Amino acid sequence: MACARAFARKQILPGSLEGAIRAIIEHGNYNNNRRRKARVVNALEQPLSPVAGHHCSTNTSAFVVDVTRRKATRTMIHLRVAADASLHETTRPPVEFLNQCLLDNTWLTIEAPPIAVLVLVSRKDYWSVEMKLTDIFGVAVALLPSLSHAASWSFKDATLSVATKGEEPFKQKLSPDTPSSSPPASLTASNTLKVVLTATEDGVGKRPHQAFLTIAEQDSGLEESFAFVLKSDGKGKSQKDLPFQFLASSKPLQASITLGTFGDSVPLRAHTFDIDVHLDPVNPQAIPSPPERYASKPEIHHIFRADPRSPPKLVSVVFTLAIIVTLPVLLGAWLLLGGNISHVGKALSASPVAHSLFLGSVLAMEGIFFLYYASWTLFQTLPAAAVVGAVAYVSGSRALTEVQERRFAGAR
Amino acid sequence: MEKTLLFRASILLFLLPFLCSSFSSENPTDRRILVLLDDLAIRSSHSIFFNSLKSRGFDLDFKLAEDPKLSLKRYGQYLYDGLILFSPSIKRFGGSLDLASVLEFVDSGHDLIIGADSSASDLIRDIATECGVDFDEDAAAVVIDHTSYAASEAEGDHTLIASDDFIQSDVILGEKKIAAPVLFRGIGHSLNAANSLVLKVLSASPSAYSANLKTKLSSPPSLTGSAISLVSVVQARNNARVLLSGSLDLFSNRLFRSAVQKAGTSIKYEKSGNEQFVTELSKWIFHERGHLKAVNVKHHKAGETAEPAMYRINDDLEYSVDIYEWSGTSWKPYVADDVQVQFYMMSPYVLKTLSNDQKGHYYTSFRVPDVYGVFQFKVEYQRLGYTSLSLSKQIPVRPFRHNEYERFITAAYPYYGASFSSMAGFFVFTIIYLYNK
Repeated sequence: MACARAFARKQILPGSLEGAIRAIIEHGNYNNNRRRKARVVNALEQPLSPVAGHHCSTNTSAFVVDVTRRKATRTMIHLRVAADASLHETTRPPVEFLNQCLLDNTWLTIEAPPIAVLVLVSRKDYWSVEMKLTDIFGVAVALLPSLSHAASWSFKDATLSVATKGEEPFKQKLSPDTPSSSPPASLTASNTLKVVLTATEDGVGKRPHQAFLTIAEQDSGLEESFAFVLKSDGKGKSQKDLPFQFLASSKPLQASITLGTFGDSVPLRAHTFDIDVHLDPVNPQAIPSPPERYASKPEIHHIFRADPRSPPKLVSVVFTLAIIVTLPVLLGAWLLLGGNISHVGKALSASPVAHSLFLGSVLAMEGIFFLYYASWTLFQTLPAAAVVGAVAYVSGSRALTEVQERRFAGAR
Repeated sequence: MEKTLLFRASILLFLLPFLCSSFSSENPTDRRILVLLDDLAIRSSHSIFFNSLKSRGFDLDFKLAEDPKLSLKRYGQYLYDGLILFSPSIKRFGGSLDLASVLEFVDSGHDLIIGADSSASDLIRDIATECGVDFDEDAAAVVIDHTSYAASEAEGDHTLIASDDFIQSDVILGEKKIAAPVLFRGIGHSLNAANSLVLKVLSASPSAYSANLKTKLSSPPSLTGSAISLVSVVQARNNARVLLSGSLDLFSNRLFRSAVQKAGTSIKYEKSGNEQFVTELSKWIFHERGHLKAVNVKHHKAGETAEPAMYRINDDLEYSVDIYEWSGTSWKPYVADDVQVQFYMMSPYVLKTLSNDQKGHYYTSFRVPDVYGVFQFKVEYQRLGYTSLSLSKQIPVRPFRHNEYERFITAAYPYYGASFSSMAGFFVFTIIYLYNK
């Protein structure tokens, strides 16, 4: 470890991988016996391009490794420079392979640089965020003297790239000072959005405790923060769905970057770029309706059944007249057949009470039926009908007796 | 001897109802509060808060959380109306108190305040989880904010946060705006998304996160940004109110009195907003504000005053109710324009917003739908910060009786004509039959 530190102090400048590799090539491999007790938790392999001016094997590669030693987990970047044909031939997973390499003492360890890559991957049906540390662009200076003035955080070498599968990614430089003036990055369902940056404190690459990409929706103020993973491998993916409000937003989403750490250093919180979300028009995302809480509901007015429709009044009146006319026709027919009431005087003088009561009760009974139809209830109708019916029965038998007497007398 | 004892006991039993300071349903404010502490020193270090409660008429009973004689009820009656848990590190309560009895206390409509901090035990976390908030699972995690920490108390670790992201609710936080940022040092929590009764009262700034101070961030923090709630409240369906704070220091004299300046700003407040925030919030928690009651539910046919046992379809009716809000000392008329009544049978047939006379009297009128069955008048009133009102009154609705229909309709004139002419014809026939020569 000591030699690695000395090496770092002496040789390596931040931001230059090529410099680091060059230094390693010049100094050869470094042994570190303490690595024996370390265990690799995760590892990610990243091939490197050959360093200019030096002959370098094509299978030169770097590993980003999480190493557990005693209790603490630390992220190390292991640069493997010596050509090792077996590396590419091996089919063993990197973790196992690296454990073997650690035991073989063939690795140089340098503190993780303040570099992170955040990848926004969109899937067919939802948006998700994967965070991974992939590329290695620089190497940290391990021991910076602590600064007396309040340092401020910023970032550099930041790019935003929006990639579509099988196409050249759209790239855009990001700057901490001003929001990107170029049009917002448009994101569709098949795109991958990726932000790469190097965190700096007073221009020097350093790793802050906090590095967030915050995406905010302008209308509702809803925010979602995604942490840059400054030390992790690529395999432990953490996925987060973008809230549906983001997808339904009409205005571009605002993305800002927050960098901060303990002490007096001035944190950075800069609105950096905008994202324009385009929904898949073919398979639109189902957006749930807002929950009904603490709000009044829309009024409901009952829709009453329409009044029953009746035919034109004229038609009813014509047919009513046609029916009423049958009554005089009937009476005329009876007259023609010889109907008469010549015995009225005779009958009334013979039994006046019976006849008048009987006719009256027939009339009353008809009146009762009319009232029953128009307004009376059954319980009003029945007693009245009983009284009138009894009168009709008694007076009717008397009146008919009188009629019978007339018939027996040969008067009819 | 035995006889006199028995006699004395019977007198005591007789007097018991008069001796008890009985809880009046007319006064919804809590009176007796049990305060459980880890350490009796909290009694003096948080004395401003406790004194403000005492001056408002509360009866505080301070006990150590491990007191072996702890008990919330005796003979099936609760001894307290509210519970304050200022004992974050307690692993097991003394006496008969446990997780289940605290939850039962809340389930029976009583109020609860929980002050936790980074030493919060599993017991306190479990109570919080049952109330619908989850403290950060990492026991060593605290809320860190590198952007809006309190500059005046900066100790380099940025854990004393100055937050002014309050809930927008006059009823919960009082009509007066909280004058200064609130100082907070403690653990963050997230709201259970499935629980719609929890409200974030004080949330962290977008740049905050919850992490262990001592280690580097090995994985993305589980709680980030304004999703972190610092102080939350719950109003249960039974109107019990619960306050959950991730910081016990929030209530302390030290933070009540300290000046506050947000990092990166030049405005310096002489006094933090803590005292105002905590006092107003405790007023709400202990039902000194935002408690509604509804009385005088009346309904009758238009133009009448007596309440009928039944309505007929298409009747015009009038419905009215009086709603009052408890002001801490008396019932004041509650004025709002969004109280709604439903005429309900399986689903609402009529839903109308009630008019009011600005004196708490709400009224409306509508026509009974032309559907018969057993209906209900329902008022379901749930508004942010107010206790929920749920009134329902059952009323049957019958169809027209046979004699309530219109008797003569134009379409049927031919039938009436036929009937009446045959009646006339029958009468004439009777006369001819009787008097024919």
